[in-house]
Order: sequence, then C-alpha cells, then structure tokens
Amino acid sequence: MPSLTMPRARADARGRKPLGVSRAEHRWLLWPPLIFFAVALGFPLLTLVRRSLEGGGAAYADAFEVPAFTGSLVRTVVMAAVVMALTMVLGSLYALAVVASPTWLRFGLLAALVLSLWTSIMVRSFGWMLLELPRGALHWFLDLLGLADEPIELYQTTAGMYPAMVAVMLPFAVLPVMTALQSIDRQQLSAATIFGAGPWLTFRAVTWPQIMPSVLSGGVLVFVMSLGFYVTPLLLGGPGNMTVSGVINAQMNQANRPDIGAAMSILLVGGTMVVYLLADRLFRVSEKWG
Amino acid sequence: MAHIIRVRRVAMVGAAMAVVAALVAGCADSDDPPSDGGGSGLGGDIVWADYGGPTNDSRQAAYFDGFSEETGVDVVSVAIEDAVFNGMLEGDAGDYDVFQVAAADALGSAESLVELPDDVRGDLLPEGLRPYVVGGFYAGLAQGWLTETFPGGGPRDWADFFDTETYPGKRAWPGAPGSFDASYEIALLADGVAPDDLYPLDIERAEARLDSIRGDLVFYQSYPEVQQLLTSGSASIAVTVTGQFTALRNAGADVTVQWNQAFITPNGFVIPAESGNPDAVIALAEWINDPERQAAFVERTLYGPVNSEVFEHLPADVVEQLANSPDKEDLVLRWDEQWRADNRRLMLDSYTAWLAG
Repeated sequence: MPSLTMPRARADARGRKPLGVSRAEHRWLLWPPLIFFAVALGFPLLTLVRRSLEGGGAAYADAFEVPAFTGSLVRTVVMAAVVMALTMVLGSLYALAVVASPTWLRFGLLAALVLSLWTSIMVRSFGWMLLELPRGALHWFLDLLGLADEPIELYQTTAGMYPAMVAVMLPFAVLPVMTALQSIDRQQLSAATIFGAGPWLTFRAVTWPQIMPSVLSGGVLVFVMSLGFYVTPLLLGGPGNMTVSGVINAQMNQANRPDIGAAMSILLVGGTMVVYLLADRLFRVSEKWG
Repeated sequence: MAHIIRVRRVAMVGAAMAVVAALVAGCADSDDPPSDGGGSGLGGDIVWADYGGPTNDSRQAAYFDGFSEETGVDVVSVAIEDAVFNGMLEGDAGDYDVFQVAAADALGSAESLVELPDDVRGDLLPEGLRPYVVGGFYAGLAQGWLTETFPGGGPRDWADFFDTETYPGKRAWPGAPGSFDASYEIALLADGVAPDDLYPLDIERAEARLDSIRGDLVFYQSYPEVQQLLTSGSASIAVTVTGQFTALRNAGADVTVQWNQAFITPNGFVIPAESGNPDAVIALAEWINDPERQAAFVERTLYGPVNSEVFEHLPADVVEQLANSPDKEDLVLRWDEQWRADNRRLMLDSYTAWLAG
C-alpha cells in the first residue's frame, strides 16, 4: 500500500536539516520571530493578565457573575465547532474542485477566494446583511424569478449567520488542502487506475490519506479563529447568537470594568490554548504546518 | 481640499490677530471678547474628544472656527476612545481636555470633574448636571416610520408600538450589548406603568413585556443601520435616536416621528480634573453657551439647545423639530438620570443577558 509508506517518506524529508545552514545561523535566524512574538503577543498578554489580577483575582469570580457570560462562552465554542465542521467539508470540496478544474475555472475559483481575503470583514458582513434583509437582494432576486412574494425570514436567524461565517473562514481551510493536493504524485493516481480502482476507491486509498492532515490542521485553524467572531454573528445571527467577544466588549467599554473584561479574555485565550494543545496531542497538528 | 482650508484658516487667524492687535493699540473699547482674559491669558490648544461625523463638522463651523480666530487657541478634535475617557472619569491621567459623555456618566463621577462658573451653565439642563456640562445638547429617543407605511396614522404611544396586529411589521430595536437605551422604560410604559412610577425599574416585568414581541424585533448594532432597515422595508417602525429620522428627512424621505412618550436626554462634554488646559476649555464653554452661536449649531444638527435664550434666535419650523422645544413639554418624558447612573451596571448586565436570550 503506497499510502502507508508515503507519510513516513514525507516525515523523513522534513526531519533533515537544510544544507549549508550552520548551527549558529540557526540560532540567529530564530531571534527575529522570537522577538516579534514577545512584543506582539507576549507583552499584550502579560498586560491582560496583570489587569485581570488587579483586584486580587476577584475579577475571575465576577466574570461568572455576569449573567450573559457562561451562556455566551458555551455558545461561542459550539459555534466555532459548527463553523469548523462546515468549513472543513466545504473547503476540501472547494480545494478538490480547484485542482480538478480546467485552467480558466481554476483561475476564477482562486480569484474568488483571494478576493474575499482582501475584503474587510465589516464590509462583507454588511454585504450579507443587504443580501439577507427581509426585502433585501435575495428577496429581489427570488421575486424576479417569481419565487417569493412574502419577505424572507433569514436575516438575524442562526441559518442566516453560518453561510457568512463559513465564507469568511473558507480560504483558511482551502489553501492548506490545495497545497497537499498539488503535491500528490500523479503517477500514484495513474497506478491506482491501472490496478482497476474506480474514482471512489482511488480517492479513499490514495488521495484522502495524503490530504487528511491538511484538512485537520485547516480545521483547527478555523476553530481557533472562529472563537473570536464578534460582528458577523451579532449582525446576521441576531443578539441571540451573541459571542463571548460581545460580552467582553460590553465589560470593557460600557461597564468600565476592564479587569472583568481582561479575566474573560484570559479565560477565552486559555480555553483556546487547551483546545489547541489537546488537538495537537490527538492529531499532531503542529507537525502538519510544514 | 483639506490643505486649502487649513491654509485659509491660518490666513484668517492671522488677519483676525492683526485686527485684534490694531484694536488693542488704537483704543480700549471692548464689548465682545470673553470676560476673563479676552484671549490674552489663554494659550496652547484644546483636545476635544467626540464621536466625529457631521455633528463634529457642525461644531467646527458653529463654534471652533470663530473661537480659534478670537483667542488663538486651536481646538483639536479627536475620536473618543472608551478606554481613555472611562479612566479620566475616575481621575486617571489622559490626553483629553474635554470629552463627550452621557448624562449618567457625568452624574456618576462628579468628584473628578472641573466645575464651571455660574454664568457658563446651561439653564435647560437638569440641576445636577449644570455645573459640569460643556456644549450640552438635547437628543430625543422616539419611534418613527416612513409616513407611507401607515396611511391611517401610526402608533400613538408605546402600547400601540407593542400592538403588532394593528401596526404590523418588524420593529427596529437597539441590539448591541450594552445599548439598553430606553428599552426597559418603553416596555413598562406599554405595560401600563405610569410615567411617574417608572423608577425603580421593574426589570423582570419589562423583560416579560419585551419577550412578548421579541419575534417582531429586528436588531441593529449601530444607529445608522436604522435608515437602511426602514428604507428597504425590512422594518416598519424604528425606535432610535431622533437624529436618524432627521438624517432620513435630509435624504428626502417622508418620516413621521411620534413625540408622544418619547424620551429626551441631555448629552454634553465634561472637563476632567486631569484636563491639560481647563481655563481655555472654560472660555470655550462660555463661547458655546452664547445663544446665537448655539442657535447656529442647533439649526445644523436639530439637536435641542441647553440655553433657553437660543429659541429666540431660531425660526419656528426649526423649533418644532427639536426634542426639547417648548410645545412638546407635555408630550415627552425624561429619564431619572440619577437612578440610571446608580444602576448602570444592573441595566447593562440584565439587558446584555436578555439580548443573548
């Protein structure tokens, strides 16, 4: 089975050190990213921890006293999981479509993906709003086809929120899978066909084992990023889909309790890290980053 | 464009200073400059923090340009940041010399604010706010709709607003966490509570009433969204700050605002104890309190004045659109600002929880 030997071969290739780079150079090359992370991530995080401990840690207890917090925390995690699952399926299909398409279509699919990455999330959320409003663009279009006379009940429902969130996250799931697909040796596919495997068996036995790590790592990336959703669910899903970011914002800005807001942020970041470490343990995500 | 205006402003300031110098040299006749100092004792600039937009443009035109010409003190407008002004309200250092707050914020932190001299205070402000509020203005919070939506006349009060059979369609409602506005008061009035008995708010009762029409609400995250919701026909009625109805009118829409049981609330600016230039800000406060200048601001924004003399300088068709015009005195209601200041946290937490369902 070629699928068994393949991953090991790839792991070997990765373990090898690039030629012509000495140990000292390795050490020096590591400094810029380390300094960057210390300044851009470590310092703000430390400030946040200090702020949350201003009242001797009471802010953590107070955070759970805020009635909307626990509910929104659970809701955020569930939402992120749903977005992750949807994006993994859709992203893999999209990546397969890109690789399998003729050149002109491939160009179009890639352009659509990159264009959405270039557009601000606020602008895109507002665009979805105009689309989903009871008498919005979607209603206008359906009306044109003679399919809708009543206003559409989609704006500010859970069903109206997920398409927009998946659209925001899609590139992060498509790009790693696409890279994995492109690095598959075409001769393996030919070999499978020659040995009489149909398309489904070829996909299951040759393609899937080679792209699965990328699908998983894309999924984890999407999950972690989805924990930070704020505007999109509030605007398109309605306040019933308020995420923990909304509650944190209210504590920071309206309640003037930055310590509680900081404690909530730490709990969210800490929770996210636990999720990531667990995922890393189970799926060895970090090895797949390349 | 901005560059040209700036050059022109510099030129105008220069010209004005030359005129002032000539006046001082020629004779000692003075009836216009601010009483204390008349420009001589003032210096530096003023960092003015507000929410920008057309309202800030109107302040620039109605107040700041003239003030800078007269005194040489530049007013630098910056976009207000919650984190900065919340700290300054508690006495922390910060960059703002004067910043915008809601009435409840000012009442809750009076001890860390600079008091104004008696003759600079707006007489239409509630007594507790008068010593602290600079450049105050009245905003309304009301229900309104495109007139064509209800040909037979729309809702007359908040009870009608909750009557979704007689007045069908979605209602645009504040949906950002923390934007409780008048939500509880409106629900209680609709539930039959008399305006005088609103406080202390019965939040449980109010939320039960709100739940009864939750399915008919469409929530907005920022006030300007209301215009989109109304004009697209996605909402038939909106509850929002009356400035949004004014904006719709300016864009050519025919809007009806129901002033009966609407709430009016004062807003304004305060000088924090840590202000870098309090004397200049007080001079500016005096400048702004001048009836004619405030009338110019009111005419541009249709925000109500805080100085009763301002009404004498306004045409009747402007006065009737103002939230605190004398003819609406019997229709509109006022919040208990003190109760709201004392119970801000309770309202914020319960409303956020109600929104999140």
